[in-house]
Amino acid sequence: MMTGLSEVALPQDELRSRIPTGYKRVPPQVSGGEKEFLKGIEFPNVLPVWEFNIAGRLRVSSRPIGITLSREADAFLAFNDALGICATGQSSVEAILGFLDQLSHFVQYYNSLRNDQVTGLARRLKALFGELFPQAKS
Amino acid sequence: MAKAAVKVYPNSPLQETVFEIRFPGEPAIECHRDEIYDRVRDILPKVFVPSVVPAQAPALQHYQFKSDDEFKSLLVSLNSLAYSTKKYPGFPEFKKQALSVLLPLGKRFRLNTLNRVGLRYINLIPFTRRDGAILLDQFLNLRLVLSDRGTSPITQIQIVVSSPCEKGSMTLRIESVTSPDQAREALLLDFDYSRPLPLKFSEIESYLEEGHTLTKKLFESLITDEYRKVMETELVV
Repeated sequence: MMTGLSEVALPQDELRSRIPTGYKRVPPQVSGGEKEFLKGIEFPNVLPVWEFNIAGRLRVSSRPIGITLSREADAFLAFNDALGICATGQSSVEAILGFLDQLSHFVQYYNSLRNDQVTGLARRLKALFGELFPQAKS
Repeated sequence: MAKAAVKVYPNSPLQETVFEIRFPGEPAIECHRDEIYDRVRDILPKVFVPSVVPAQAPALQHYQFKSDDEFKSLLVSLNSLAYSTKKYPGFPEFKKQALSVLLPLGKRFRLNTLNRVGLRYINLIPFTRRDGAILLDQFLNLRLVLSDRGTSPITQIQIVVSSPCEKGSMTLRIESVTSPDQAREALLLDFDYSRPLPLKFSEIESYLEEGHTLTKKLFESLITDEYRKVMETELVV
């Protein structure tokens, strides 16, 4: 029967906690106890990514790239110090998408430059992007 | 003969490893916490006491003695002793650390029979979504068919399964979780191997080895080759 209520519209936590009246969950016994461990674990702040869309083609980097994610007062940040990329967004997904756009741009940009056109930091970045995406070289 | 090198993934998702023994309540443990602390204070000098939890007996809550960096802990309660680390040094070293703490305590408090022995490995695999879906098959050899069209996009996952294996039981929990600041998401992969009765304290080393062998086997078969490569490689950060 259609009720007009959509189950999927409910918050996930509420859906998860729902069980029929009179029943109770029987969680498995776990070593060390449930609360002490899961609550105390530090969430990893680096996201490894290895598949990228570069100029419309799926590329796998020779080494996974770590995207550090953090939340500031009014924005989410996604950055990588080695590659000199930092993107912001209203959500972490938006920040990551911004990061991936910049990465795609820089891979193409540095690959378009000859070695004699770059010095200093640009030379280091060109070498690094070339090592990470050798197949993307023109 | 030279020992085989211990393989520790440089980019492992392992967050915490816990080895716990539970036994019939032993009041001497509660009365001699000072003595337990004396034995470990050089390596685990920080003391954490449990907070009061309504409807739970305080004697069953763990006191925790932690290292200065808080990576290693000894947990102590009336009916349980556990050793935990957040910086896994590889199994041989973990075993050495755990047993060097637990074996003398078992002898001191004359622990003979145990109620439960458990080895737990808690992993967090960070992920990002594609078109709102978790790319489960990038990380895990786990196929969930929820529609007649074959594999469906998965946006949330929460699975707990327990299954007998070898001489014990394995509980595996797979769950998509979000960091407290909502900035990051990860797949929780929580393995807990336990042994049923009868259990002897004198056998804890073999229980620990058995738990490690089985968990490693399950972990290696559960993760994809693609993700294994990521674990084996240093990240560019």
